[in-house]
Parts: sequence; structure tokens; C-alpha cells
Amino acid sequence: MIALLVVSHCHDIAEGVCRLAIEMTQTPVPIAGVGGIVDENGQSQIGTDAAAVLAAIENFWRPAGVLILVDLGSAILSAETALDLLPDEQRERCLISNAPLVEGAIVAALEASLGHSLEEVNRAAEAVRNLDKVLR
Amino acid sequence: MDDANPATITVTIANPNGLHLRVGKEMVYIANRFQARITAENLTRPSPVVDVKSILQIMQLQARTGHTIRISADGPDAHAALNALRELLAPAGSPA
Repeated sequence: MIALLVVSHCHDIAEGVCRLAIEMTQTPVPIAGVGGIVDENGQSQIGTDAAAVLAAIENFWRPAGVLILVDLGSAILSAETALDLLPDEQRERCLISNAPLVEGAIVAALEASLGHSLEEVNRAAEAVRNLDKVLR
Repeated sequence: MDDANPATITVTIANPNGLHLRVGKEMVYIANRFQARITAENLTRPSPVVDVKSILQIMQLQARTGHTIRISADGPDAHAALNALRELLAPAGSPA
């Protein structure tokens, strides 16, 4: 079973996407969210924190792999920075997905719950990009 | 249902929310229990023929309440698969 990590600029988005993704599972899938940055007053602000992403990967890493779903911009850069800091053998089983965050997490959670591999789960999640939302 | 392969059923979506994400998820988990290739098509509005083992594709049916869905299965356990899907979507005793 792979793990999923959701990385967003916004704490509430990360939490919400995780809630939605967990709803799609049938067997327990490790799903965690990292979002926002904590300012000097302890308040959550918009942003991404590579150290928090690294800590989450270290917590959730497993041999089957970790699929990292990101919103955009620095979420990707923070995920890349976190991966740079991982040992090689762990980094090799982590993948940053090109899937859109919400739809990708929905698909990935279900596919992970079916026991599919990191590569299979990511392929299914990235397929979201080819579909129209509205039939016209 | 006759014994022809591929087997086919049609069901009308009774759920007031249509074929929503959670029902779609249940369809995928049921379909994945079977070897049969299982496809679905919305007969009420133009839709692609989709693979019921994929949540992404099921959402492409865009099925609202009252829409009729045709589900086809091909394989050794096709009939069992269709029965299980019918039980989910139009359980015995539910309004048509």
C-alpha cells in the first residue's frame, strides 16, 4: 500500500483534500496533508514549508512509495527540496504527481486503496488531465 | 437477463443526487471484485462508453436523477458483476 501526501499553499485546502480523499478509500490508506506556513504568532498563513513536507514524508514513507500531490508553484519547489534531503533509497520511492490536486487525490486514494503500485496510482491520477469536466 | 455474453442491464438512477461521487466509488470497488470487463454508458445524455473500474471514467457519465445507464459486462463472471451493480444502483424493492 502506498501513502499519499497532499501539499497545498493553504492549510485548510490540504486538510479538506485529505478528508475528501479518505472518503474514497475502502481499506485504510495513509493520507496526510501539509499546507500553509506558521507565522511568528503561530497563525497559519498562505505558503509552503519544505521542512514540514520533509517531516511528513519521513513520517509516512513506506517501501511501496509515497505519491505527492501538489497545488502549484512553491508547493512543487518545497516538495522537490524535501526530496533532495531524503536518503536516496527513500527518494527513489517518492513521486511528485502532475495530477490536479483535488481530482488527483480522489482518484489516487481510490486506486491506492485497491492496492495498486505507485506508478499505477500516479498514472490513473494524471489521467485526470485529459478529461473535460462538462460534456458539451 | 439472458445468458448471452456480453451481458447487459439498464438501470435508472433513482438517487436524488444523481450518480454522485460516493456511489461512483462503490461501483468501482464492486467492479474491481470481478474479472469481467465492465463498461457503462449514459443513454439519456451523450456520454462516452466508460470503464466501470475507473472512478474518473464513471464521473464522465454525468448521470443525474432519472437518467438511464446501460452497463455491459464481458467475461466469466459478467452476470455476477451486473447483479452486484444492479443491487447497488437499483436494489430490489426500490422505486423504479
